[in-house]
Amino acid sequence: MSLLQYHHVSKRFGNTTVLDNINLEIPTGKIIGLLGPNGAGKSTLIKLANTLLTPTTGNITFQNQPLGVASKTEIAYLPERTYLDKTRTIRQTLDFFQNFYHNFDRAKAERLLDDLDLQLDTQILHMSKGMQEKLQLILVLSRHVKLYILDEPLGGIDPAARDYILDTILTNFDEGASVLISTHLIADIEKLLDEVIFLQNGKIILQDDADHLRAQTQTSIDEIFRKEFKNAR
Amino acid sequence: MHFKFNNEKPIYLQMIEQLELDIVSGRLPPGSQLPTIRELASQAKININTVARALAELEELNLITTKRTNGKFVTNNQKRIIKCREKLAETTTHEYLKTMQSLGFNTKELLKYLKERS
Amino acid sequence: MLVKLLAYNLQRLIKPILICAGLTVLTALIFYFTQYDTEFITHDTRTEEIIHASPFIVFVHGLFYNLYAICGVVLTVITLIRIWSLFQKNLYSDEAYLTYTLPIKRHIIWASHCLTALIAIIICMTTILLSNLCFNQDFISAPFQFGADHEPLLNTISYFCLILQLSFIAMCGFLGIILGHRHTKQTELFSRLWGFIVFTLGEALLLLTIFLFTKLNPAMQEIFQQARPSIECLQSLITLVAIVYAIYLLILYPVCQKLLDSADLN
Repeated sequence: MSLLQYHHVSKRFGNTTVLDNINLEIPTGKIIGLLGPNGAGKSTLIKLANTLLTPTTGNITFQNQPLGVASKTEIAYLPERTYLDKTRTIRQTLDFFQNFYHNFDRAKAERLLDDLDLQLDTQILHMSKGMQEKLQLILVLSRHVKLYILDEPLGGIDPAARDYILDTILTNFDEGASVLISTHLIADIEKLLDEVIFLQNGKIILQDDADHLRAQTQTSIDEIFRKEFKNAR
Repeated sequence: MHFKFNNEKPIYLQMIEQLELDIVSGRLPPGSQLPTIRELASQAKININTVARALAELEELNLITTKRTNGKFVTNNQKRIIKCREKLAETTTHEYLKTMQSLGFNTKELLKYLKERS
Repeated sequence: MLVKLLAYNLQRLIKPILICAGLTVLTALIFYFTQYDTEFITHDTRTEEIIHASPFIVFVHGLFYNLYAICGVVLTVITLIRIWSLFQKNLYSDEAYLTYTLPIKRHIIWASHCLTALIAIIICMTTILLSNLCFNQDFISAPFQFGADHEPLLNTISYFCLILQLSFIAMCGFLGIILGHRHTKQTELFSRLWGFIVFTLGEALLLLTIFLFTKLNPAMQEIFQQARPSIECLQSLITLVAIVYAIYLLILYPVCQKLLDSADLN
């Protein structure tokens, strides 16, 4: 059974169509790359799965149930921005997550934070942006869920930190869970991907197994992407 | 274990090749236990499913076996390993010859060149 | 979940409110303890014999009379602002990405903000009510007492009425923020605009209701005709106002809940 299903989903804002008749299934146990140029609709696609937006037409189901409290319990979302209360300390944030998510593994989070030498009583305000992003990633990956959705986890991060993030993603998500990563920095991430989905102008133009694509075209996913989107705005 | 992958070829194929090299060269001795799939994925910085796929193929080729304790082990079958060695040697040589020929070496020049350097 | 949310919300907005409340009580107490012989103020011919207080105490007493008024206003304003800014921050800033992805229904999130607002308002009003006890001399306290002296019923009704009014104002602010964010640009401006519009409409409707009520109930016309209407009259009036505000709240609560349910976050 696939985890997340988009049925004929379209999203319009006023007169602009951001997503056009999306039919998509996210399978279990795979790392999937949602790739596309800026403005393709990746973030919108993701926000729809998290009930931050409602589809203009069509609907989305999680494990064949409509989105709701049950789906939010089993989806861990890492947005592009810092969504934490910056006036709190790391410890208070851990308390918060533990309080509201019953599948939050506090011990794991503290272990990962320890690896980064982060003091639990630091106020989030006082952390650098890079550190804040790593903290959020740790919080998200410390939840035992079925689907991790990471929206541009590598954006604005220096190359050294990128390795840490990719490694953390690889070694820390639950076995049997799926990870949906949206990014336009493909070269760094493509070795991790099982499947790729190409999104352009609100439409899915490609969905395939990563190695299968490589065998077919004898090039990297990055190359395929560049060729495909050469004429994108 | 040290792995190096490029993005242009299917990753699982590259993993198969590199593991075959390790087995043939003796870095992974016959009968030795392989690291777990998770460990391999972590070291190689690739997807677990890709590793699993590569190992499945190696098992098809009878280069590794799964013991009941759920570990994966290099085969003890020397004949298999030698056959693999030959296969790798064949492909490498083929590539080499193709390149050297495109550089303009004929067979006599090639043999001389090799003799001077071995 | 609701209780947990409530606890977190309250924790976030309570400090400034408690500080202001503390100051309010403090100023009232200082006023009370610097009381001096009241006959000093009555410009009585006996004045020259009865001056007990030092000029300094007199000054402080008068000063804190005004400071108390300021504190009361500041306390109310700060309470409302904290309520609104918490709502805005929690549901319409970057934090919303967390709020809306918590495994909680939006109804519950909305309910928690309303309850938080109510509790904060109750704290605010109760502080003021209790502090008013320091001002129990007729001629000074007339502007401050909720009703006349020794009129517990009127005072109680006024207390509830004020809580309902402040709740209505808070609700207008919430609705304003919700409506304001349906615009793509200048959401802050539109939030305030919408809030103000809803509030004005509510107040206009209230005045109309009072007017109609006096038409239907001639005894109430005292309100417009006398400077000091009878206690019964005031009681009826304030009860009416309280009922109208309660109805507004009962209508606006589900309206806002529905709007919030379908709100998109951008």
